[in-house]
Amino acid sequence: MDPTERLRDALRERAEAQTPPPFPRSRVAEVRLKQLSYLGMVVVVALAVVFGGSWSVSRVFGENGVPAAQQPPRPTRLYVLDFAPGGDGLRGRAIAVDATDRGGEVTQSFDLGADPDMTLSPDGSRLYAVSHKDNANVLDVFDTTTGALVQQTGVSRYQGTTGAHIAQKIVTSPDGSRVYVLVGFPEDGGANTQSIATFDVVSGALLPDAARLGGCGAAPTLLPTDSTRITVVCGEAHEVRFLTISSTGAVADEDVLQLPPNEHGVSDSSGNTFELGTVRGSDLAPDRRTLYSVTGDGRVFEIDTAEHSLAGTHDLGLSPGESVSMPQVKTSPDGRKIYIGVGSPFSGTDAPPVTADHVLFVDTRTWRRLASIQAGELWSFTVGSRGNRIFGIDHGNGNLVAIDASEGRSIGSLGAFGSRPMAVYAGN
Amino acid sequence: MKQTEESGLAAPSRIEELYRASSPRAYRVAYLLTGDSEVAADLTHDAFVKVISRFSHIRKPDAVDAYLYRTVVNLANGYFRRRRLERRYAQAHPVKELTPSHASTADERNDLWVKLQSLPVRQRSALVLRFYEDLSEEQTADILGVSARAVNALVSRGLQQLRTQEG
Repeated sequence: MDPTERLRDALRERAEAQTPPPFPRSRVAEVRLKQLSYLGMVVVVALAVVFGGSWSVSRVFGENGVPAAQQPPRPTRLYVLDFAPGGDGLRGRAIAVDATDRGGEVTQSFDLGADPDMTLSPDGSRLYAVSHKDNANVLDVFDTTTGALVQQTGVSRYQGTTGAHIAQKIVTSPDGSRVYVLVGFPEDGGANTQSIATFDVVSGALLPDAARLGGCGAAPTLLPTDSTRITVVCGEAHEVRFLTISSTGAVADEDVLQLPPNEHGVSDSSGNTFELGTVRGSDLAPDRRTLYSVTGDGRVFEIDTAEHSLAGTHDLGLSPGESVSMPQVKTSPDGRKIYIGVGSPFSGTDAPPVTADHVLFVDTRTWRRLASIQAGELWSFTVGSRGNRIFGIDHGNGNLVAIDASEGRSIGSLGAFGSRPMAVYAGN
Repeated sequence: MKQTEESGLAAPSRIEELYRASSPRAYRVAYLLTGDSEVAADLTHDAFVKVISRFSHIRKPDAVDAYLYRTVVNLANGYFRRRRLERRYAQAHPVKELTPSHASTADERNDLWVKLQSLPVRQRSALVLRFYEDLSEEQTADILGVSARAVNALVSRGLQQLRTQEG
């Protein structure tokens, strides 16, 4: 018999013997409570419209549902990463959007392959993207002014990797001289096979060697601190690696900082206590020396990337119903605040939230909460180039949304850009 | 969901009715992915709560099945991610292994079932959706959040691994 037919039979035999248990009555109440909260929100808005009158409504919400009095003088350039412009998931694109509080205007569109990631040069003149085209990883370099593709370089089969190794992330060094590409094998979460490929911007070529990241675990965060040094946050391994990349692209020097163990004891159904204690998101302070790594249970590790040491641990004091979503941590341009996306673990499990339903503003000197802004279901967010706006992608409706970072309040939707928007990046 | 559309709040009987109508397929997929009926029940309940609580946001009510699939698969991925962390950080703690309840049965289908449980979760998910649910590569890709080409690769590697294990 055909192996796939045998597999079908085995699956059907197993599945058809299964009957779902009834839905617990206690969870019916949970559903109604959640629906009620949504209904309450609708009622509040309706009452505001009915009793507030058109003048006050427009004054509060503005013409397009955004505050009328807070319009920035000029638009902020953003790039929305769209994963499925054709609806097939086989290609992606980056959409340049000039955003104001009234909405956004598309100014450019950059065609990419599947599963793209992107980064910008420090001056915003170049857009670097990795994606998959014809079963190969491709690094595209675009001129952001003209929209022209100025260079295309293959990253697949780089240093012995195969087409199955997926280019997952791309970041630029602070001086713009190098672009680093995280290449990993998706099947094992990159546990042992991830590496960093280095693209030299001046020569326009990939360096011959790769920096191996064995044992780092899935989805590490790459944060270049200068032209040759990268801080790598390995969330699953619960450690931070400080790498110096040589002129050939290999690791010239490496140091490892093991993060403190979980102390806050968030237990799962088996009685184990570590899931929410792992790092969910990280960002560098503007000085590029201080690193903030935030765990799911709300601890912030303050790390000195020059000394390779832990400078402090701060507790955000999250309530039991809150958990830091991944990977949503951004530092304000002045370094005084850190913005942290927080959601609720899936009810009845400890499964970490992948979207944030609110954004915490935290003072990096006192570590007190300054604000908590309701934000829908944010996939990702970024801080605009002027630092006064946070922009995010709402997973619920695909909209680009804005938050006033100065006053700590939600501005609302700026419109939908792309068919499956997954991330937003700040331009210049 | 007439009542939900009109008032925004579904009656308990309506919630249970919707669960009875929509949960069997999601529950069976959850079971095939995890190999554990209790875990499958938890994942299905969680997925249902998540989907139905926001039912008024769903533009096409008849798409509940698709949302349930997607949510169950996502929750299963989270479940396995958590288990990997558990193994990594708590080797001192005994962890219940996801052994199928009839793993010792020697017939060929059970043998295949046991081997399926040893595959990486993404491969297993792709195989279950393609060969149990008979979804197309595009539909499977949509649920798994990957490209159709990636699904093709996952299925090929999964089948290859099953054949290799069969020796």
